[in-house]
Amino acid sequence: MKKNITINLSGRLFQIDEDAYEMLKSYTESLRSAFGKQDGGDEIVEDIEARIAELFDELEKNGVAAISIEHVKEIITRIGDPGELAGDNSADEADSNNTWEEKARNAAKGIYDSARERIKGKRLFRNPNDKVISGVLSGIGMYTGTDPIIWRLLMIVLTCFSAGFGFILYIILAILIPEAKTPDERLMMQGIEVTPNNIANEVVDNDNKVHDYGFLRTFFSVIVKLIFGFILGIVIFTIGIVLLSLLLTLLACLTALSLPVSSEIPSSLGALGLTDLYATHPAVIIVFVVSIIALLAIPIYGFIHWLSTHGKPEKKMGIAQKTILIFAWIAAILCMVPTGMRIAREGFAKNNITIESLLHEIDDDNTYKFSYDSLVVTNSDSSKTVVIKTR
Amino acid sequence: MNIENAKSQMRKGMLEYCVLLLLKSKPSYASDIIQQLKNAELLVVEGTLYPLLTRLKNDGLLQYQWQESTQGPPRKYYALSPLGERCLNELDDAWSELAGTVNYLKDLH
Repeated sequence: MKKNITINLSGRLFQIDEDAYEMLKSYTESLRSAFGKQDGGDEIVEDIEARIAELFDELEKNGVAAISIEHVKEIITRIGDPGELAGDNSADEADSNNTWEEKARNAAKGIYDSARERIKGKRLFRNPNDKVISGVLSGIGMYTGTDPIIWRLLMIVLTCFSAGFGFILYIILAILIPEAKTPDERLMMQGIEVTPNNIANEVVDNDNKVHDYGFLRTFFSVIVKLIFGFILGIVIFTIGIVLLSLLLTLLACLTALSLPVSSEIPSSLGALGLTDLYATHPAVIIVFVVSIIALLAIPIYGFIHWLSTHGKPEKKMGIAQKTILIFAWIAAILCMVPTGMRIAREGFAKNNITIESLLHEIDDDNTYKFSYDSLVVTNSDSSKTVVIKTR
Repeated sequence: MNIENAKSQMRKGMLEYCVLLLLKSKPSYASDIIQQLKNAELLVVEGTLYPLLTRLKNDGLLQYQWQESTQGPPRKYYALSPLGERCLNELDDAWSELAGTVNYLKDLH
């Protein structure tokens, strides 16, 4: 006896066994991820679904009451393997690369060979079936054919002895490496060939998998999770405060840049430290402003992109795109810190020149000379501030 | 040399031409094309046809129309566009040339 469900495929209703449905679902998911990057990929998958519906229709006409897993297997074999269908054009390129690979193999035997052998046919994914935090290290273990515990211990040692660099590295890896969500991704993670049969086995196996790790592993996992959560909390809190203060700084800088060179500013703005900015060269402020905008915009863009593509794996950012964004973000920090420090140093050091401190240097004929980058004049009752710039 | 691989490469190269050829006489929908290609023993897995049709359509060689069917939902009927017809003519010439070359080489001995 089998549980039976009704599905809607291309606008037609079919009775189908539950396991057959799971298999069909994983097949169309694989199709979607295989064709997703292609032009008109959605259309191709819809057409194939319509074809499957038609074949189901034929089965029903032949007196099949409910579609079974055997029927689905047959249809999948008939329509073909997703990777092969989508990879049609790349087949020739792979051939021409072969000779190069052969040369490389002959050139560097030994370690290279064995490492290659281990990762052959595999792709790096985060492993959702054996994870402490997000499955990065378990995935690396899977990829290199080693025990993940080695990587976990290494990461802990790295984090403890490098002032938290390991932690940052882990976060970056967790963002860069995708999780193995669909059955074919799980197969690629393990280096098993993606065929309709293997997908079916993986679907069945994955549902039956019992996670029992024993006391030590569970204890380790809980401790690491607690510490990780604690550090992550502190980091997020700090980043939040830093980003908020950056936003305020950004507003101040933009206001300063948009005001004319010599102008009156209300004292309320002067109190924000706006006048300090006039001591610094505008180019420095512009670099500072641009890097702050990048610093704020990149994570916001990433977050919105992640939200809007949730549940659509084929639209997700590729590793290249993520890497570029992360590098741009780091570059923004590297630009922001020195320019920011310069603005702070020059601004606060020089704007203390006031008319009062210079008054007694005025000559008899009521003229005086001195050099300045910018001059801040404030009324005695602080009601008005005037900034005069030499530039 | 892998004989099966060589055969499938040959088929792959011809598939595009053959699909255009099939659509020259009358518009058809995907399952018709599949059936005819299978009868001609040109198609191994059906899935190869769909990316091909979409690519040809995106390249402007094919156009399609939705048509009601007596059984089930409407179907996409593909037909050659004017550009597709021109392209087919060129492929026709290329094919005669190829066939000529092969026959010539065969007859050498």
